[in-house]
Amino acid sequence: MSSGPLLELNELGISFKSKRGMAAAVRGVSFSVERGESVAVVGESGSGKSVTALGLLGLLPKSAKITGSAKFNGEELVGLESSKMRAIRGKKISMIFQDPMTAFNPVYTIGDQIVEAMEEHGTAEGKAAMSRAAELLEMVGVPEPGQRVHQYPHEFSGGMRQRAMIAMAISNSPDLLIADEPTTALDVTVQAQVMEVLADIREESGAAMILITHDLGLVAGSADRVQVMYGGKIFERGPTNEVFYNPRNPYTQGLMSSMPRLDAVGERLIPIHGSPPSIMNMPEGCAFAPRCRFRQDVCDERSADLELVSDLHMTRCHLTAQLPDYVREGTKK
Amino acid sequence: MTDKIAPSPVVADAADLNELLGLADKPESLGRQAWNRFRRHKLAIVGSAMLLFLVASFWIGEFLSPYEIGETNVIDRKQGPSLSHPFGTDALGRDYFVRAMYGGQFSIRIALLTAVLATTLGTLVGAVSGYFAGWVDAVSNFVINVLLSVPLILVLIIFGREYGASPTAIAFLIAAISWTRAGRLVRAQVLQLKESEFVQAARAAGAGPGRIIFRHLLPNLVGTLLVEITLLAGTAIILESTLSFLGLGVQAPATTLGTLIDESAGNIDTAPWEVLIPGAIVTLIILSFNFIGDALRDALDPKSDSE
Amino acid sequence: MSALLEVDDLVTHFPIRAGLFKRTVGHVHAVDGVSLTVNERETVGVVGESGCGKTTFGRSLLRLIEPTSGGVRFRGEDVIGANKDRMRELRAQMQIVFQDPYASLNPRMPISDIVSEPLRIHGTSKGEAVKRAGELLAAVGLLPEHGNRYPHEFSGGQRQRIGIARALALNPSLIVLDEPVSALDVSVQAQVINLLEDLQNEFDLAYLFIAHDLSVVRHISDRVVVMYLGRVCEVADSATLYEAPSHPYTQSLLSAVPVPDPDIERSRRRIVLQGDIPSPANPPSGCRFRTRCPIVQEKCAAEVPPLVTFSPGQEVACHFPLKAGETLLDRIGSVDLAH
Repeated sequence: MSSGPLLELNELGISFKSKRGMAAAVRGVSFSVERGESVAVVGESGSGKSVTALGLLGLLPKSAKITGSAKFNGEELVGLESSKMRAIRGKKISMIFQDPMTAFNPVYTIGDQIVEAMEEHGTAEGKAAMSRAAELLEMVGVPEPGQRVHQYPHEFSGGMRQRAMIAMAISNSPDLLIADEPTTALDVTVQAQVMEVLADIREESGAAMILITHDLGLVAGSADRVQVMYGGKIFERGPTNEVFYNPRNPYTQGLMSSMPRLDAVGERLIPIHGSPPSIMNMPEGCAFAPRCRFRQDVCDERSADLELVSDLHMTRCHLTAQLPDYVREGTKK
Repeated sequence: MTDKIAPSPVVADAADLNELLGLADKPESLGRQAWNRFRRHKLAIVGSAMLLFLVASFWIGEFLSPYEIGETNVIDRKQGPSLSHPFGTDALGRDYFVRAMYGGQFSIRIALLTAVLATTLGTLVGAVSGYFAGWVDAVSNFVINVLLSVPLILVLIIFGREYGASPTAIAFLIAAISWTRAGRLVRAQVLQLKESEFVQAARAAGAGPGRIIFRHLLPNLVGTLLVEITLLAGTAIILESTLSFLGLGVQAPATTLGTLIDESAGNIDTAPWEVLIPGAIVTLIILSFNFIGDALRDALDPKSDSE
Repeated sequence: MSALLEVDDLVTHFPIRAGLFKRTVGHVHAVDGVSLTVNERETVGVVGESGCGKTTFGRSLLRLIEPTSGGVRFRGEDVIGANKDRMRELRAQMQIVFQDPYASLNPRMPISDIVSEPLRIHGTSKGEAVKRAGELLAAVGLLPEHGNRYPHEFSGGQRQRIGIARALALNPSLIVLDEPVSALDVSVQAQVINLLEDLQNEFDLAYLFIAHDLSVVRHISDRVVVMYLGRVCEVADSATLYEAPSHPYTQSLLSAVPVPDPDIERSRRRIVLQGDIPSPANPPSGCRFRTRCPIVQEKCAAEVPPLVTFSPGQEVACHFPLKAGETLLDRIGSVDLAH
């Protein structure tokens, strides 16, 4: 058992072939995940957050070019041959997708698909596997698991399917769960159920989690550390409290100021102008510069490096020291 | 202690705004984008080149040939391909090359006329039944089902005998039978499109059915219809040639590739070129229509850009 | 403030057809008796989850979907029974903005045409309409020059602005906004929300703001209507709804919304409802929320709770509503709700 971090990304870069040359979706991402911890990767469209996860697990089309390094338990994932990658996928690292309807095959029962996941990795077989599948369904809170295990995906509701997907993801006791927008398609009361299941499962199994989302509320409730991504790079990262209460990046500050909050009196929101760039149209220099209220000439020339703000809290900005402190406007006393 | 910076406003003039909004320098319509994709598509290039070549040959070839279409020359009859008669001569001594070119012209004309007629009729019926649904749809569905159940060939044979004298009549006849495919296609798309939010928005603004069908639904079907026309043209040639081959289509002295095949079928042992040449030309025409149709279909699918 | 829109027991059912002869075998009770009022220049928010009927409700008001029964009056005039011509005129007064920025604009029309179409439909000349389209585009933060571009050239947030410009074209008094920011990135949502607020002040608009995001609704609304399975659970002004929610569903809903504040999130005790939302094709008898309600009693299955005034400005449809300051957790005591 290696003593380093469970997962360590170093300058990971992912580009896609397009009519106008290579388009970089991920441009040098580095972070690590320790055993048992929960790391959130937050970003909007075009930030590259989902592509990073898919790239890690080799789930991108062959035309995607991946550079840099991603070490899992010391083993390099980038360029890993497919048979070894398949041994890791579903067993050591499991993924939970946004849309449970398309993640399950509609012509097989839920039970069969969970069993398949286990048989594929030699965790269990036949009857034993099926009863383990029912156990797993019970663990994730699906009522009448003994019956449900023989039902088809379309007989499950959205929330139930998501739970079934979690059951399938943990069937081989993975060390790392990657949840890609796991609750975006769900109603908010169902979202609360599913996030609770995830928290319970993690507590019981000790699995680490990477939560990929655009919802800062979810991050506040379930992540130990946060990585804020924009334009294929990490713009700010650190312990959740640090990033939320003392953001030191204009983008993060902008995000915090622009979100309406349930517990705030209705003060005017302060939006970020413009829209996130698409990977085909990435600006030279800092990706956020066109939208930044503090833009200087140096920002158009080149992107900054990640710098320490304090222990474990890093930000990528030329003007970190000069940024005003973030004050949460309109908060109820 | 470093001084803090104050924020400054983000947008200045129009150029800034365009950069901010991520807009390209010039507007580019979807049609233009599709055309660009089409231009680069291999099948499009091959198909268009073939079709252009064939069409050009038919008209220019006939023009350039020293022989007249009906010019008979009993002395030189039944000759094989030679320098003076590149495709040989037929039983009446007519230059076969000229006849083949002439036949090609007619076949193409009939094919395109049929395709346009059938697609237009199909579009009208499909759009109306798809948009209004209800009993209008039920009636047209019934009619379509009846038409589809009737064996095409028999109908063509029966009516061909009665009315099939002129190429225009043939075009109408074939169109009257083959419009159903376009009709079904348009109906299905209209059913789907009419639920789109932009159509709902038009309704919310007070638009009536006419405006919705002609300004909102049909323009979004142009691509599908173009593909349909090219593919129908290919089918039309086959049907027309079959009819003519059976002697039920266009009557003499009008000539199509089908009539040429009909006339020369019996001589396949002695003068095989008389059958093979029109047959090959028909095949090439159909192939080029199909290539173009396939390429159009790919070009109109916006997802093909992201690969 | 006078009443602009009055809705009286609106019902919209969709028949479920099956079999060879398409017989009606049941109904989807999308909207099952909703009454509310929207006053001039006011924003009424409508929140709810899947199956609550809020989208169908919005479209029924404009008769984009024909309601099954009930009354809708605009400035006192009957909307449901209006004939085609009168409806066309009414449509100039009540407009709609849709959720999906990618589907709400005709991809084949340049945006100047899209924005000016309502004017053309109502008889404005081409030249005049184009001019007005330019003004509308400027009002929503774009440039008149952008008029000859096509929708696909714009981002989601910009397309929503175009949709808003279109809705403004006829100078309506009421705009129904059906999830107008749900499909947008977080950093863009605030732009559109601010724009809507500015336009409301500039053009004296009333909004019916339909959304599932409670934070957004709370921010923008004067009053909020909470819907569940086709019925109204609670109506209250924004502050009351948050500070003293009375219906168990409202409390559960508020409890489930994550707040971007780590300390608050870690310390709050969440009410996690059991079970799924029932299908609107087969709603529970009596109170529709009873199958998931933590404080359900026998009466709830037997009788439909009427919507009654609970406190000034607050109406609740519950047999056992929670008092101000009382939470569901108080009512149940120390029983652990989650499992």
